Amino acid sequence: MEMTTQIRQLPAQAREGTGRRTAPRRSFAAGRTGRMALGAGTVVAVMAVWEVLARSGAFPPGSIPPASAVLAEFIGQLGTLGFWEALWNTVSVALLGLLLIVVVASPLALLIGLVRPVQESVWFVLEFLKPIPPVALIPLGLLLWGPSPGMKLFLIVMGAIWPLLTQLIYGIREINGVGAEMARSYRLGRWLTVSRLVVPSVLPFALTGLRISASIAVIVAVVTEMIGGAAGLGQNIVVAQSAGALAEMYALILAAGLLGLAINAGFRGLAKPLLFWHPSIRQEGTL
Amino acid sequence: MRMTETYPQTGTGSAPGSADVVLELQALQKSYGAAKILAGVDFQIRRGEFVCVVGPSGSGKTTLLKCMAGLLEPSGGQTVFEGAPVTEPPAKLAVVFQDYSRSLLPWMTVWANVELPMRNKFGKAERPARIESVLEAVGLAGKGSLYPWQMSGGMQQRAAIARGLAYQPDVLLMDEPFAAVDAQTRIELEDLVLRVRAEFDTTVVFVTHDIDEAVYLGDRVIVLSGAPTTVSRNLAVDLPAPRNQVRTKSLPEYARLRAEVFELIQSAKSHATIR
Amino acid sequence: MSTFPSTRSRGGIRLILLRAWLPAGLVAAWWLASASSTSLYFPPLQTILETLGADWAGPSFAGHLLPSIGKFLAGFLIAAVAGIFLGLVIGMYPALRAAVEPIVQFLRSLPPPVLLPVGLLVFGIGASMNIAIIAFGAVWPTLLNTIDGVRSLDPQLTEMTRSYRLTRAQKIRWVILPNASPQIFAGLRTTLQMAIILIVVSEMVASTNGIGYYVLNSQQTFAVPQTWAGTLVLGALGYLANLVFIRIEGYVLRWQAGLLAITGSGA
Repeated sequence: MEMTTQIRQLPAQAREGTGRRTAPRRSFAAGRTGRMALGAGTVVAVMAVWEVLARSGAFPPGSIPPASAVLAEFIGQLGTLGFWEALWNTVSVALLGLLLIVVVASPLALLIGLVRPVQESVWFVLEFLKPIPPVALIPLGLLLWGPSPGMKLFLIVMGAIWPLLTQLIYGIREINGVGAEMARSYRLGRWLTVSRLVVPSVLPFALTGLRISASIAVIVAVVTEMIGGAAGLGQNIVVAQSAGALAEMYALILAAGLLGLAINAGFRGLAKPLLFWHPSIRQEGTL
Repeated sequence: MRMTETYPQTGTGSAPGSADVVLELQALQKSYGAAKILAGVDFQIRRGEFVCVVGPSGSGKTTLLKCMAGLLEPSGGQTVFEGAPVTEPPAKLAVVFQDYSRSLLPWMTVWANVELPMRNKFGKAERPARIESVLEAVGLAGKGSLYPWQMSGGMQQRAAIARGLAYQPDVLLMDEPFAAVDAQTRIELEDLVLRVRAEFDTTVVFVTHDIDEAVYLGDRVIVLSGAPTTVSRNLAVDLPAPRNQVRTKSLPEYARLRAEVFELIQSAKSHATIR
Repeated sequence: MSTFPSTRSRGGIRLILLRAWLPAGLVAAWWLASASSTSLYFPPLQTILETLGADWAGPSFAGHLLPSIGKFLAGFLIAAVAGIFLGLVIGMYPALRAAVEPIVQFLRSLPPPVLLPVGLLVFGIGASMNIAIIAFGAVWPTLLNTIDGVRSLDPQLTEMTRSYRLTRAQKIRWVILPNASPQIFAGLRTTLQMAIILIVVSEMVASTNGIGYYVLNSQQTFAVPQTWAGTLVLGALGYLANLVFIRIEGYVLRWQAGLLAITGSGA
């Protein structure tokens, strides 16, 4: 899922403030500890409400078990081999898909970004393929390959390659402009140009694209598991549901959410040291 | 080393307690944590005056203006506007901000930008004629349908001035309004401000770091010390009206005032660095 | 956002040819290569297109296409309105933002399709389930981007609204929302993509009509040309939805396009 990306910052907003800003108000919510306490409090409150509603029978019967049961089941799942196998099945294929995407998209982006006739030639094909929902190909994939890891991989690459490819093309075209002239006029040479100009300017785009591609890869992996019956977290969720093991089903959903959180945190952790100079990092908010 | 807090009054008729005082700063102080920016600023603005506030950079000019405008709560002392202490932005006061590109709304035409603040003051029927007249006055007649970003910096600042005037304030506060435009545009805009001020009979408080501009425009120049800021001098400007870029600036009195302000600012700067 | 500038800006028959040869060539290659195909899985393109015409211009149009579009629009609109409204409220109150942050971060990280079983349990099979899944699964990008957009307001604009004494409603209508609109639209674009994914998947799992149902059903009954045809329809639908969205975005954000063109910044 793309968060706050692909928006072109207005120059007015990017401008450094002149003069003194209003003094920051020191309120409870402004401090770091205060924010965390508020957040934790809400989590506890939501769990409590969930627990009460589930026990009082406010939810449709047989739909949502109490929070305590789900948490207990989640902790139980952590001790089973099957859970970790399923998680690994999902994550490994998504990662492998992502690797393939990088390998395929990088040279393609270079070719498209730098060679004008190629850019024009693939224009329509790219514009047509990009918005096609990645899950649309699932039935076709199932038809051609059955519920295999290869099918999963194919669908992940087909569905999740576009964000990275698009962002890389943006990034490469960015250097084509001002920076390239600077590098030429100062006669930086190939190594300096690539290491000091090309890589740093493409990196923010690459990370953004990779992050979106990664979340789509996980989505596609989970869906193929749910619908196509390939092994993984998604299949376990469906199996638990059809077996009526509701607590297990919700525990696995919780795990899927935590997996997503871990991926996002991973990208944030990656971006910080790599893009410390970039405005999006320098003024990073919390939410 | 501290500037005197009881500044010498060189102005002729600026005796405190005068009946037509419209804006009065009383021992205004502002600190950010341990940093003291304003250390008791006192002065009065009388109705119809054009007063320039000039000070070295870092002397808290913008802070001072925000306290006057009710945008910032002072740490001590108060601003009195038309007899009442300022606790929030007064309805009869308008601000023209320093950076037009950040105070005009890029998603609205000039017309809509000018109209926006009028919504709470004027009925729907009154607005068009008034907007036309202020746009005309600032030289933007017929340009109302343009977006700010379709215009030059000077024109954008004209639009911001038009917005201030259309609001029909008793006092117009201007925060270094010409800091971001080129020298020739600045000259045009200076004369424009003098003209519309007479036409709309508005009291103007004009904050600037530019000594020439302050002396050229003001009926009075208030010179600030370096931070922590006090008023270091309150100078009456006895230059004949209407001002003229060539004639006024070649008068000996202009040169003398300019030199005086320059000396004050230089000494404020050196004190600021010692501190 | 289109990857490349539109044809209009530079024009020329040469450019049109340059852009047309590859798609035309690909279709022609597919046509020729599959023409004499006897493979069960790769029917001739001609067969696929004939199926497509017979099915989708006929009974499937009203039976599957219209219901899908209706459900998709309903879900997307709910997600859009809820995302903008909640984002506005959360963005304006720092304490509220701090309070809901962990929950929102968790929910936006959840791969939305895992909600399908929950939707089945709560809503059963049918349109309301499909719509609910879209709304709940696709709302997050819009919500998060709106929060960000609201917070990105230039402090000088805040001062301007205060000094001219704009009311809260005026400030929201004329300043906060337009200021956030580029980011809101970036979020909406992702919400749209997510909504298309979710309508397809939710119809595969919990519907007795719609394109998603049609395609999966065709696959499960080995109706191969139908599977291919349905996939093409899905692709075309995704493409068209995106096209319509870009038009609307271009209209609402026309001030921004002009601004960017003049200041010459941006990618």
